[in-house]
Amino acid sequence: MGVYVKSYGLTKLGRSYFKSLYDLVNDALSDMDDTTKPDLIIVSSLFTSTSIGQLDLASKIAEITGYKGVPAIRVETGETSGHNAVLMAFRLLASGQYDNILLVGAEKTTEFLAARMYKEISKVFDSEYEAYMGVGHASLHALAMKEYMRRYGKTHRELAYWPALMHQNALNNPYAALRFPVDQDSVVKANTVSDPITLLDSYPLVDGASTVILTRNPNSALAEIKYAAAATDVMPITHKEDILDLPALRTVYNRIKEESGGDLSIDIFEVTDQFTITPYLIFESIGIADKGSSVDMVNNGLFDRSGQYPTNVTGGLKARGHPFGATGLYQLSEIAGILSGTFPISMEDAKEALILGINGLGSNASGILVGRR
Amino acid sequence: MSMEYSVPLYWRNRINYYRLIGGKCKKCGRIFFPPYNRCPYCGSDEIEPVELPRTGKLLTYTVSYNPPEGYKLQTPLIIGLVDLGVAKVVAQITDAQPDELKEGMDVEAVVRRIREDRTAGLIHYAYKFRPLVKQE
Ligand SMILES: [Zn+2]
Repeated sequence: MGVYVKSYGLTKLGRSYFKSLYDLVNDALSDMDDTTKPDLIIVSSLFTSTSIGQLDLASKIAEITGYKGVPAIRVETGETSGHNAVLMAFRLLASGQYDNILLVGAEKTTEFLAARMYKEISKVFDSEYEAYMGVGHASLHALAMKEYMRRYGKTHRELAYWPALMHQNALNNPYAALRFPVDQDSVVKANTVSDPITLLDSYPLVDGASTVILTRNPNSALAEIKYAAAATDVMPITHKEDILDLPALRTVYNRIKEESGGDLSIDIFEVTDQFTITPYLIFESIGIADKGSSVDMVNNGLFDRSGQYPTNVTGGLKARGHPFGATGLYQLSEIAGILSGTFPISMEDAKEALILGINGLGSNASGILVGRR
Repeated sequence: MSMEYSVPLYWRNRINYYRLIGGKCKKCGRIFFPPYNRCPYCGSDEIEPVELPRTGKLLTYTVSYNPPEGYKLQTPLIIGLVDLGVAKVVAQITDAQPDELKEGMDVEAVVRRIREDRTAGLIHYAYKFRPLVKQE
């Protein structure tokens, strides 16, 4: 039994000081323009108990979307919350438990000053032994980036091909937060956040909402969810065998590969590039690049839109933005849009796309294989 | 007076924070920090507390200019990944300027003030690492 993306809605990512989380959800719902009544609502959001002070957010979302009475739950697995919301919906639909599930991803990250948000975000890592010590989101990725550069003899400027590419890709994405080009030198020279990570190596703090309807009904669907998988790994980075390896994501990738008969032919990759270093760790952990070789591959254009592995063609977390709980649903919406020709960015020959997400440095990992209808 | 951080949580962890207590798995032999009741490598619940060495090597470090709220007075904050041989620890690096640090150098654990809890006035202490002071 198949599971399909019926419709999707998005808001332009950015600093929406004059809109509430509920306004953003409403805007995404209007953009989706689909009145199919869901029999389940799954909400994905990380920071709402702090950012807007609301628990049982799912009930409130059911009410404000006009679906009071429909069962509603919230999924929270850090930065993979949206991905795992899709995974849950996929399994529930495939098992025949539900017919139509409304996914709502929403996040407000600009309700407080940035330092307060950085403190909240640092909790995606180990709370008692990492966040407790003042270790921020950027700092643990910075340790990984510095170790990568040391181990493989790569320069910051070489790695900076990635953010420059993401800014280029976001130019055509009307929903992206950062729609201006940057070059590799300006990435390296930007203000340091946590060395070697600069402001232009990092995702922007944004507000946004995305809604998706997944259904068992194949008629007039935009795309098919062919498979979804998830896995976990250790939470403190000190428990990791290697700070540069993401074994849970490798497990996810291999499971999806097995499920596809041992052979994957991916036309578009969509990965969570929280910081410049992250996509390199992802490519090398799933094995499409050998350890230490992904930087050269990226610099040779293999991950450009016209390359062998087109990745994050809508700008990635880096330039589209990273609305945390909504991130996985932005990725799915854009991919479904591209595969169905309903998104402003087109990839005419693309038939299959793989969405990969990690929390932190890989404590939670998930993947969603999406196919053209 | 308002308290931002849980006092019982800090109290439960204080010995680990002061004396670097890790966990040692009796089944697979692995030592890990922070300690858990079950082994993150083999799942065994036969774990004994073990005091980690207080000196090790600075594997890598980063200087943070935009740390999370509550650490402004300590900015820039130096965060290091330290290899104690039997286990690794992530910690603040103290008593040194960034340009005095280099990867692979010897470091030692000290107990230092991590933060103050707002108006409650409670001071939280835990391990930090500093360049090893050589005994003449
Ligand atoms: Zn064990």
